[in-house]
Amino acid sequence: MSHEDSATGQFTPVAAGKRLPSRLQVRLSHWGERAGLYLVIVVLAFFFALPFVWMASSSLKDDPQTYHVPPIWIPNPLRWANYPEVLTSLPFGHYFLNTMTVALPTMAGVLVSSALAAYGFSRIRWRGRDALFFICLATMMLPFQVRMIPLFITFRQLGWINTFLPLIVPPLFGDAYFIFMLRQFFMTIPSELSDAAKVDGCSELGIFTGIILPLSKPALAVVALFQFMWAWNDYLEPLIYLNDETMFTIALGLQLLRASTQAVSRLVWPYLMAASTATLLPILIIFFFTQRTFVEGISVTGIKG
Amino acid sequence: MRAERTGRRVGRQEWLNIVKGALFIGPWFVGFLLFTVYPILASAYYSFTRYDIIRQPIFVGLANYGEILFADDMFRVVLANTLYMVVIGVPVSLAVAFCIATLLNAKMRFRSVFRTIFFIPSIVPVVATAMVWLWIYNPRYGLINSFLASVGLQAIPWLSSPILAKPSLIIIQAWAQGSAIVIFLAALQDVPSSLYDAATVDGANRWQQFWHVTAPMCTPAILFNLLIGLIATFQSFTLPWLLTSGGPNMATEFYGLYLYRNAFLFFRMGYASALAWLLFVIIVVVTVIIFRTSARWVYYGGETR
Amino acid sequence: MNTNKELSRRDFLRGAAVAAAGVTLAACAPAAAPTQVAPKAPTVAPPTAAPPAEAITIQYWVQWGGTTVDGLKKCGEKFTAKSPGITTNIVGDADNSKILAAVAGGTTPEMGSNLDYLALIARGVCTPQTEWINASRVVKKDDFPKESWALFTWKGQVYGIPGVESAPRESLGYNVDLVEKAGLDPKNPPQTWDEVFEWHKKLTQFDSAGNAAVIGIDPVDDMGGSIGAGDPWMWAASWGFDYFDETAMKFNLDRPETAEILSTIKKFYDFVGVEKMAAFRKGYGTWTFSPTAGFPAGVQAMVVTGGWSPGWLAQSAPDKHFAYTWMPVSTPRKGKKVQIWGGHAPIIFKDSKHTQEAYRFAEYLTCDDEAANIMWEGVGFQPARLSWWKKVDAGRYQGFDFFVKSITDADEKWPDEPDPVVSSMGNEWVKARDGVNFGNFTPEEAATRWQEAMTKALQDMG
Repeated sequence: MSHEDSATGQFTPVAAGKRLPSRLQVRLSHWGERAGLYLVIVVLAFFFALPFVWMASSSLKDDPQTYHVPPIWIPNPLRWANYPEVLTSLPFGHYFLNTMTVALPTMAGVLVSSALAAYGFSRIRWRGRDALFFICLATMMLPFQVRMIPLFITFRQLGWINTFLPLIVPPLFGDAYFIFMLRQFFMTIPSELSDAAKVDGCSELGIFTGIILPLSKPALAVVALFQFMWAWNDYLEPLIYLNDETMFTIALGLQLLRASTQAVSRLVWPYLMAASTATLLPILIIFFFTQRTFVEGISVTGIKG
Repeated sequence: MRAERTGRRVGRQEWLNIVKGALFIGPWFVGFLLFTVYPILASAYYSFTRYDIIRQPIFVGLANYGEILFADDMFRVVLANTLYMVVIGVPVSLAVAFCIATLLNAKMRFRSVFRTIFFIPSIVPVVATAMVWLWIYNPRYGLINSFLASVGLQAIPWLSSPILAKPSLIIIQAWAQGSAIVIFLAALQDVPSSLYDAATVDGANRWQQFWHVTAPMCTPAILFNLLIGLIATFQSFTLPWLLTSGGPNMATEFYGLYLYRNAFLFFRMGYASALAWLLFVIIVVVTVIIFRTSARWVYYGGETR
Repeated sequence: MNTNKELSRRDFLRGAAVAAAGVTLAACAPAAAPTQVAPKAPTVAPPTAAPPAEAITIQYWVQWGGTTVDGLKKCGEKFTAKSPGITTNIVGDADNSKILAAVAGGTTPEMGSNLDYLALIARGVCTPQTEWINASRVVKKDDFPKESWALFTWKGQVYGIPGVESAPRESLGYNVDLVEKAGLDPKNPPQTWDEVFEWHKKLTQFDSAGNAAVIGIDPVDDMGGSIGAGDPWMWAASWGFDYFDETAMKFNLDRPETAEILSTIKKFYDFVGVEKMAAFRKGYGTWTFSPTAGFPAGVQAMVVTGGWSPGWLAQSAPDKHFAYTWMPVSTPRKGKKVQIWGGHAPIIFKDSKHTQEAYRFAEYLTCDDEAANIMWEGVGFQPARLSWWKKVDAGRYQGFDFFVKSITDADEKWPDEPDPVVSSMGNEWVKARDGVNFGNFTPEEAATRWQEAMTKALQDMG
């Protein structure tokens, strides 16, 4: 015997002999569970969103004393002018373009190189593979502060100081974090798939592009998003490589803001919050509209089914 | 004869695999040679010198390491603080991220909105995160403290108490697990629904399904987030630098901060390099242990072993 | 100008970097015989007034940001108008990591300000300007307070003309309204730290939940924690001793005065409660720049601060009523009028490409009234020249007249931060006073530890 769960459409087989719960009982417990789920999620989401809500709310305040007891959540009046005022106080348009100049090429480049490397580290068995993979991982384990100076010297030798090249070129060769992540994902794809393809005479590259990549869309989208995020928020590297204010990125711009005329005005807090909110909106929008890609990707096991 | 022929065939296949593997990781390896090898080796060399970046390094052998291990009481404090964050902060943050991801994986209305909310913390620029949490933890006007003040209770000294400072930072760490949540979501998506069906046939409830289907199938992602979390927490720098600068009373003086101070404020790059390499060794040892024991709990679907 | 040893280091780094595949090169080729390079006066000819053959740009990196950089940019424009062919590029937020990376990579700017001056100078990164200053028709050395040169003088050579921002650095600033409300007499401000403590007790208020709502003073909110730490150098002047001997290259912290200082500070913290004071500090920042900092926000009644504050407070707290008096001293020295003079200067980097032009810009910034007034009007910064101080409108900002007066009226004038390990000094200062405040060790132990740490820091400098 089985009955159909109307909400999920799944058949729930019930062993013979067990007393079947009445339809009403099933419905109630089901809705009880769903209510519980919603409750937990909403409460958690509330706490997680609180800081951001406060950030956005403060950005519209007309009041340096954003310190109020109890906290004011909806400013009155709503000072939308904070946004254009702070975003024009410094050339944020320039900063935006500069940041995109770095973010877009590196998104594509790091994806390709990291995916290739991750494939090599997971889907082919070859001597020395694991040792090299460990070296790749190990590069993440030495703090950047002590690699910074020799790296700077390298770029100096190449003549890349005060250009975007130190920010764009290295990610084009892959990134250990992404290689590691993609490797883990590639490893969950059943080897039967590649074996079958090999029997059909497919080359490694063919398997890579024809089977592995399509099945890894979720992970690949994550890589692209994260790389974009890092390029957007990175502060330390642009600081030491760029000497021309017109080349500054958004993260540097935010930093400049903290000592600017805005910082002495009575609207210092709202201005800083407005700038911060504005600078995270692009990523937020991208995430909201692309999240389906990496959380609802094609399930691998459809093949077995 | 036949054995010989077999031997040669195996040898050629193996060689072919090495070439294929090398080609796939080629781009990463080139980047590694260009941008990573020199900085790593240079910093290793510097760790045996007295070096202020300005003048020539002066070879001092193991003096830096000796001083760190036997003559630096600050080092012990720093290491203890950092280990606290690693041993407590990482598991807590990971558990929070995984639970939230599991909840978010269920079908529900407004799922996109909820997911975005949980992801926002990780894309907020670090400067903004610091400012927002300084407000939340503000002793008079902060989120919780203003409520306490209104009922006449004394404020909780989140960031100003040596005892509470680290837990306060762990709360922020758990809040900012957006990246980990996204990765878990992508992994959860790949858990075959046929497994859930089979489990339900066996009479497993949701809780049992979580422990016996969901969690095991996500172990590669868990391993990834665990290692990344460890590596990042060991080197944590920007947020504590902005929020507490090591205080109060050195309670939040972490390895990353101590290293930065030595490298760029005290002109002790040699000492900082030794600190970095010591940290490297610690991280490598921990990583190796986790990897070695991972075979017992991590389940890969399709690794080519 | 580079010695052979400098060349071989650069070559080593260059070879290793480019030959990325030559991994072993980096590992096996340590630097040649390592000795220090003693600072030498440059052999370049003194700057002339002739315009350069082709247009050049002077890079000027400062650790300031925002408004200060805007002011400096204006100065740069005016300078270019006077000296066609030379443009300036001002870069702000140049912290130590950026400067040191540039030094290592050989991409230093021509000049810099608001940096770790003596630390860089003592390590031979800067060009001595002694000969140029002596030969200059523009720089009148007597027009500068004697003490202001100290921060830029090392082993007999001068590395910068004081200016850009240079002012009397110490005063006790107080909020007149809060003082009056507490029943105290604003015309009779405290002179010793004990007297300040009496005011502190009356001015500190707690709210109904027991938090510190208003504090009298946070004794280490001086220099607003600029070195991350506050102003340890002020305390030595307050107690009247030399904490560092440049000739002997020795620190003098292991003495009873240091322990007294730390105990005094502890008193202020104990009255409020160590954690409550820390919590207060987390709620309101230090300095007088931001409207949300303690003193400008009107929740901190007193602050030890310098000549830049009247200008800053005019922006951050225009509605409040402040006054300034002499910085507090130790009880035996009651009545002494102590002032510390110091500030900034444009230092010139040794590897700069346009040293002559950079020096001319430095002279313009520090000696020209036009530049001085741009910084004064727009940023609230003053130059070091006494002739400017004599002419300035003392009533321009509330309380500014005290600082003008202190130039002539001070009994004791001290130089500011004249030691080459400023960052270590600040760091150890935090450890010492936090340690005493939180009860990790006694003030005497703290003084001994501090001395040991600074001795080690000096040894490390070599």
